[in-house]
Amino acid sequence: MVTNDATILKVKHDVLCEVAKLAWEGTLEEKRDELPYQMFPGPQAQFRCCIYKEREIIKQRVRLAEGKCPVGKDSLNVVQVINAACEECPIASYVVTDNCRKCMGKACQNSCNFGAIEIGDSRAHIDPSKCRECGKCAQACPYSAIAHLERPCKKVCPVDAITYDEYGICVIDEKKCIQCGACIHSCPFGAIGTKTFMVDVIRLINAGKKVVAMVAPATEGQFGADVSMASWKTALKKIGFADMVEVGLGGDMTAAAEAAEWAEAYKEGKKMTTSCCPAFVNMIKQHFPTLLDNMSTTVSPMCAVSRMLKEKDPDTVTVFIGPCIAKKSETLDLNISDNADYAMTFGEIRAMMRAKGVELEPEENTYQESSVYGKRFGNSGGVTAAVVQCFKEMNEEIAPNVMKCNGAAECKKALLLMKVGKLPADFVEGMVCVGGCVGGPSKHKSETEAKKARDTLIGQADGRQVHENLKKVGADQVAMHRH
Amino acid sequence: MKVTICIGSACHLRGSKEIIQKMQQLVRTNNVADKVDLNGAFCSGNCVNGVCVTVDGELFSLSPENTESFFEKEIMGRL
Repeated sequence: MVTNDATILKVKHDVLCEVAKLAWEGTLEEKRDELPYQMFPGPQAQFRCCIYKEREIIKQRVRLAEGKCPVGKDSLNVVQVINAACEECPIASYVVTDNCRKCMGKACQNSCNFGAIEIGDSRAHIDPSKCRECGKCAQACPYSAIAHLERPCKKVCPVDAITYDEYGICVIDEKKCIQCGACIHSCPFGAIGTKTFMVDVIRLINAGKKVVAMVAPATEGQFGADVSMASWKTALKKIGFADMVEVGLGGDMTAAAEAAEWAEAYKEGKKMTTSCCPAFVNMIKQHFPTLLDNMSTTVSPMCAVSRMLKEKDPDTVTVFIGPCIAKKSETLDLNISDNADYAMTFGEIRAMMRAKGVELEPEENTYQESSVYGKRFGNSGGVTAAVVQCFKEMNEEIAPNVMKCNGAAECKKALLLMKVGKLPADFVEGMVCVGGCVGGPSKHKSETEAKKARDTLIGQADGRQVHENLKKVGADQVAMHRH
Repeated sequence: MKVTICIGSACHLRGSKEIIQKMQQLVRTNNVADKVDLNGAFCSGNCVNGVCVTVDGELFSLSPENTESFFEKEIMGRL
């Protein structure tokens, strides 16, 4: 995948892998301080101003890999800033470039309502103390000479949670942050990261606990058409997981419960939203709390599968694996009982595998526990399609109007309309990542790159129906509501 | 009121899961779901004594055995 952070991804992955190796060996306590020196032996720096800074950043990355905050911070937020890695990108966001011809028209100056533009010796100049960042000058310039240099992290944050301190270092406003993780891969210096449960999961496997992996519906296609769910099961068992279940099954469970809930709400004329995307749930909780009553009370597919597994054996430790960062925050919400104990990203689980010399190997696609509808939960529009399928199976003759929000901006717009009572649709499907979970921040391949392989793999699945599937696997009796 | 319970592996092995289940039960039976917000926390490095629990930022060490009396005193007592 072409990204602006390929080098950073490699460094981050190497850190995770080295930490995983030590955790598997049980020597993390003694050896963690050696890792920065081992990874950056010096004496020359590779990427930053000096070797000491590079090692300092590795030290903080090791802390994140262990689930700790960077030194000096103490917060519950899953997404964290490594201060030493933040390169204090310019804050003045509108800058005049060499394209300026110091023209006679001076559209920039004339368009500025704040008197922030002076014409200097060689080009126009914007006084940062007067500039209000309205952008009118950039639009007005006929030479496109005014560049908009927004910080990449700030630009991608859908809820305006990114600010900066007096030194220009990135600060996350945790009251606003919905843990979507969009900023993590936007930073070209890798200054934003996420705490991981990787070491905890390794320690529990080493302690002999029954740890079961639950792999996200968005997984199929991410690693090519020949890496099937069966490949995942084999690789996860090799590193000590007791078993693996596909969360697509939870998609079926959630769709069935949500269909019943929506059918009732539809008849009452009550508008509702989905509740399976954790960043969307966080968005409602933190930014639209008056709409909590309209949020479906059905638990997420991850929680559904976790409850099913724990009903069979209460001692099971359940671990979700997917492209999502916000799922980590869902596992931290203990107001929901029997949800997944831990959530991990593809990168984290692959580091755990790599540390043990295990890879995902091609394997025949023989494992299927979910209907095609559950498997498509990870695509934008997939939840709605599954719920509509359930209506059909229930012989409910209703055809509600669903606003399918693809990405955070659309989610925000729909919630805003709902808040002021002007939502034209009956229901809102909210997915904070563009494309759905397949576009999640910790995806391995982009939605378009993975599409062909994903369609091939899902195309091999049989055509079982949602309710039929739930009966067959005995998942139709699990408690499906939050409280 | 914000209550956090450590879900790191050390606390897990000391019974944090049992403590969480007990707390969830106690919140339900005391009917205080709207007042008590139960949160999981990553390891804070204070795992020497017992399962790390904080109530509005104040740190306590718990075991599954003393969860009920703790809930009565430190949680119901503060509401």
